[in-house]
Amino acid sequence: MSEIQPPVQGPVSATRATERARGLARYAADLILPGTVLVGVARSPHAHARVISIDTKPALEIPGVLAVLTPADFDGIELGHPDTDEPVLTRVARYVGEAVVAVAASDQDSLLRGIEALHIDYQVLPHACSVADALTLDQPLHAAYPDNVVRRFNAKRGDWQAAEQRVSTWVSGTFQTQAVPHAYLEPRATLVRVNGELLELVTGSHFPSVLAETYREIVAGWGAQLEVVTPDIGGSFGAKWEHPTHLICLAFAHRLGCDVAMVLPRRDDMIAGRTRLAMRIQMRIGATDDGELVAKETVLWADNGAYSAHGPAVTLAAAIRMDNLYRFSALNAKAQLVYTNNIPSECFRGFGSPQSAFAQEQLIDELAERLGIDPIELRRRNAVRAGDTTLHGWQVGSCGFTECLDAIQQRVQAHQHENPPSINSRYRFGYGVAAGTHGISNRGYDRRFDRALLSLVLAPDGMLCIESGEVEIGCGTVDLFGAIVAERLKLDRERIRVVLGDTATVPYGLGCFASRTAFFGGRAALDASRQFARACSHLAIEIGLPAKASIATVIDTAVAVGRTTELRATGRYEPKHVTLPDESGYGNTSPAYTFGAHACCVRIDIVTGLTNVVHYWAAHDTGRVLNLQRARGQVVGGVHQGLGFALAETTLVDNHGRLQNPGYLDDRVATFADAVPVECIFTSTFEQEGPNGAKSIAEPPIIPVAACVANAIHNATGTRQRRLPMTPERIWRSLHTEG
Amino acid sequence: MMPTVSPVLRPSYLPPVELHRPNDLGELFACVAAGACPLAGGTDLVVWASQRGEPRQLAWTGGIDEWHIVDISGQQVRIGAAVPLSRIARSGELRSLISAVIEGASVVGSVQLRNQATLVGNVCTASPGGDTLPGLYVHDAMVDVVNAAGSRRSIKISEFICAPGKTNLAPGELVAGVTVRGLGPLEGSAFCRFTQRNALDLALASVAARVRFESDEQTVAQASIALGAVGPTVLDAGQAAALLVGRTLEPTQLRECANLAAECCQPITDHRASADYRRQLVRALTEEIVLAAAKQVTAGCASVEAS
Amino acid sequence: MKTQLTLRVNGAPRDVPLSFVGRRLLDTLRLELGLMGVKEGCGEGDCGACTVLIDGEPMCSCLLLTGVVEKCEITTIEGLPAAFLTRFSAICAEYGAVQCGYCTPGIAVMAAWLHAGGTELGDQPISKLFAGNLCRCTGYQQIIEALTALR
Ligand SMILES: Cc1cc2nc3c(=O)[nH]c(=O)nc-3n(C[C@H](O)[C@H](O)[C@H](O)COP(=O)(O)OP(=O)(O)OC[C@H]3O[C@@H](n4cnc5c(N)ncnc54)[C@H](O)[C@@H]3O)c2cc1C
Ligand code: FES
Ligand code: FES
Repeated sequence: MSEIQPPVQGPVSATRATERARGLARYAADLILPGTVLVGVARSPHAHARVISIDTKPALEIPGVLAVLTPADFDGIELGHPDTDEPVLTRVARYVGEAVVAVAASDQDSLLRGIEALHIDYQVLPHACSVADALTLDQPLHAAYPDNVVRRFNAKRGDWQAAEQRVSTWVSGTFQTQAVPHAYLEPRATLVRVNGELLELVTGSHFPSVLAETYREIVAGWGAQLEVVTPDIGGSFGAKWEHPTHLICLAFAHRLGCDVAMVLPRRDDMIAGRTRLAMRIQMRIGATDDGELVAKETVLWADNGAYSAHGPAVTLAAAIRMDNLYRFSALNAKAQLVYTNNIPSECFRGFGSPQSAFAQEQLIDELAERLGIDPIELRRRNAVRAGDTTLHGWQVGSCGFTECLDAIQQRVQAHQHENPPSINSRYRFGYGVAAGTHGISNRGYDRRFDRALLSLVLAPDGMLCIESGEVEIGCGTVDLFGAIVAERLKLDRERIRVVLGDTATVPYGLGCFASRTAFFGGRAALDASRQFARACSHLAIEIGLPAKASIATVIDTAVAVGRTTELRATGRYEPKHVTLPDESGYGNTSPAYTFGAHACCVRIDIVTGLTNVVHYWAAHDTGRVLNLQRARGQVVGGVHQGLGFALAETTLVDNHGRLQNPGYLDDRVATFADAVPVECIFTSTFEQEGPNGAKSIAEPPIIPVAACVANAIHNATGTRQRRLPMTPERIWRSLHTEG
Repeated sequence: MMPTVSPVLRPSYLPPVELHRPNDLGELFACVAAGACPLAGGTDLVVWASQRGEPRQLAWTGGIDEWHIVDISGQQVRIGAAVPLSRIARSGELRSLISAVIEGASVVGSVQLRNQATLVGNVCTASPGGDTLPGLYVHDAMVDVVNAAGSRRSIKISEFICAPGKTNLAPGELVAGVTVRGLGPLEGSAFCRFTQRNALDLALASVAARVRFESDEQTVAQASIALGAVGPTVLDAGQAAALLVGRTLEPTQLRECANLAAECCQPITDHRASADYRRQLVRALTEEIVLAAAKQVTAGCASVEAS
Repeated sequence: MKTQLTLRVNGAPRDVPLSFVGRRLLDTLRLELGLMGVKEGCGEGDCGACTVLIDGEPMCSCLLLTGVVEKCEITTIEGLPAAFLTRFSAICAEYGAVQCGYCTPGIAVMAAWLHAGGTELGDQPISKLFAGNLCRCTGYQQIIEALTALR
């Protein structure tokens, strides 16, 4: 691919954005019609307990209550990807808030009365809400895992002994990162519409084809069919995969033969939602005196929560991905994923790398200090470069990592020059730097393939429909696909309709995760456009138009003569050079890789420990920028989620496993008043493999943030932060014990 | 192990609520006598009802016309039970008369919440971290309590609030409003809280101070300090304030006062912060806020001279 | 005996069953009147996605009981002046202020209030005025730029 286009500036086509700003977007809950049966669940108040008996009679006696489902209704069905371990309704509650019984009622008041009337007896079991407790708990959470360890990973690369001998300086540390909720603004909402034997699942998930695949198999057992309809999605950040609520609604809809819906209140969404995996990371990095990074060792424990979801994949990624940033000689990583009685974890923007970056990028900083080398210079000397094959098997195509480092160095120096250090007894200022890398898609995710399909179909009304299983979650996918096709076919954007994620019509797609949508979907859109143009020139000749007639003319004529059905094409993209990774994660898992370097300036109040990020710079190699505003949006948004992870957000669980802060007020998601000025810098990289030279930008911005802030705090105060979130109290305490 | 029967963890939907909307006090008292819980802005009550499933019978106080009145007569300010925080927070006159209260009212929640939430609601919620409370303490607030028989009693706020979430309100009684003593000549007051977020957060600690100077504008004639979120109720740090009287606000004086304030508070350790960190915050905030209160006097005088 | 509650919504009288008196205004607007531009993000006053104007002042419709606003003029995003919405949405698109869009209707209502409010609030920073409207996607910067341009 070498189809060089001039960079696209400003909004390409902002149809979705304008609709949304007018309040016209429709999310799942907005599509629930009056009279729809409402569903709710009774949740376990215990972190670990066996359900001994369930009395549903008092609930069923309440007028308006239509049906009740218990664990027995879902025998043999478990959710999970690829390992299945999560029941729909459970016989053994493994976290506070797990669904035990579900109720359907004609209205919300009856629903609440029904749930409150249920009698559920539990036998309370010993529980463990930390990895350490789970490893010593004599009670396994899942019978198949007697020691509560779900998975162990080992990744050894290079000649460790030889490398070790060359090391003159080691730095090491133990780091603790926390679970945080995704805290998307739209709570989980599920609507199931019944159309004869067809169940239509309407829910904001960015993996509609994957959901359809999983659920079709299950509902086939009930004699039903299933399609997924994807409405607007109010944020997800990795959370909205398969979920018990879907199956509960599907089962009720099938049983009652009518539409049912369930919208989680925010509190329930947080206690029964998903979180980022908390991790404890022991790491050491060794270098030579002249600043060559030689060896890195990682020992990592990850808190899976009660069920697996993508925990194994995230854990492996956390153990190895960040290694690919530098030219190490030898690597040794061990990771264990452990079941606990916490909220089930799930992938979350960054896929484990924000956790490991917090450790690695602080240690690199410490090394720089020990070796007397500027931290940016140390990174530059060891930076991975275009053409490298890393120890983990990544074949690095385009690479703008050093360009990112140069860019932030220049910005930081200019800022320091303009703001000479002020002598102030109360406030300390400091600068920090950190870097990150990320893949695009993940060949390891689906063993069958990693590809995207996108169809262009001319509708009878003359609109050109883009249909794909690659969806829009606010990154601008609709606009991007629309823009690519419009540009390629020289069509007005107004003549194009975009339908994403309705599984009845669109071709299969893996969905929006792993920063893959723009890249994979974009390539498929290019391919589809090419094929569609070809179909147009064939038809042109047949109907007597000049072969070079514009696409618009061909379309108009096809509509006039009733030959629209001949104009359709399905484009595809499946990278050739990616490889399925082995057990230890070795392989070229992505068609391209992204890089980034961040810097920030912090102000710390040493009296209260309060940290203010005064300025933030984020330099990214995302290939060619397709839309500057969109790319900035991803970077600024990602940095702010990262700042929340770094400084404020956490899921706090008490001794009984109960979430202490279910809600935005106590989770402390950043507000307008907490916004930090972020300056975005994009490198001039062009990725041959990408659509119009692009790579991806959704996940990379969150990765370096916590480390970057931690390094700045160290620069300002001399204290090292090993634990997230770095709350004012923690910082104040470290100033008193260390400083 | 013994099986245990446990209550069901219910979804936090608002349960069916029976809402009464009385238009006069008699009707309101009748509703309350029949078991309805008074509802002002609902910014606490509706959240609790959703979380806990009760109360389910509410009587809205917004229909009582006389409770919408803000009355300023001389140094006295009376704020009716249905007055939203935004109304008092926007008043320039109140800002200079009862600064500490207004500064507290201005940081509650958000623009939207302040349009709904009332001052009296904040008082009746009786949270140790209620942001208007330290200001009300240093402004010697009296809570006007009425009952169905029409009898009134006026209670010092420090006696009205007796424990976290608990007031001295007897069954059948309601709060009609709050009366506060505004600032006199040579007096200033201020409020400040510490939160992790820059907005929409609950205080980890808060402090209000009121200072009156001698005519030299340097020597403290009278002082009071109230501490929020560091005890079961807002605390009157009278001893700490007393340290300032008869002295000028030198750094050592201030530090001594702040240290004593930190010593006399009774913070708890919870998921938001530990006790000793809250003490540290009290220390930091007290110094700051005494100075801010004092500055109001000096700055205020400067503007009088200028005009 | 009254069987209906009459509300004034977006300039017109709207009847809803009396049973909605004790329900959240948010539910009445969405479920009974089909005004789906009003969103629920938290139901606890934290996020501002449910913001509506009550007699011109922004409030959280998730914490208001319907009966309480019977005599008030209620404005949802659907009732904002068309010219304002056109300008607001164009500026949002231009500045990249919308991602998933779930927070945007609440922000639009706040922006309209600010727009109509003139000078009284004009000196307060946007970051303070909008602190009751959470956005998890954008990091606020581009919304602030858009709102500044709108001013
Ligand atoms: C998102 C969010 C953020 C918040 N942030 C803050 C904050 O920063 N600082 C802060 O201090 N608070 C905060 N609050 C709490 C709340 O907004 C305040 O406590 C508010 O002042 C309560 O007033 P209200 O009118 O809404 O009271 P309501 O909720 O209507 O009532 C509160 C209590 O007072 C009782 N009551 C009301 N009127 C009377 C009366 N006349 N007589 C007797 N009893 C009565 C009620 O029965 C109830 O028990 C926040 C709340 C939310 C939801
Ligand atoms: S839904 Fe009302 S503030 Fe969030
Ligand atoms: S754009 Fe998604 S919450 Fe604001």
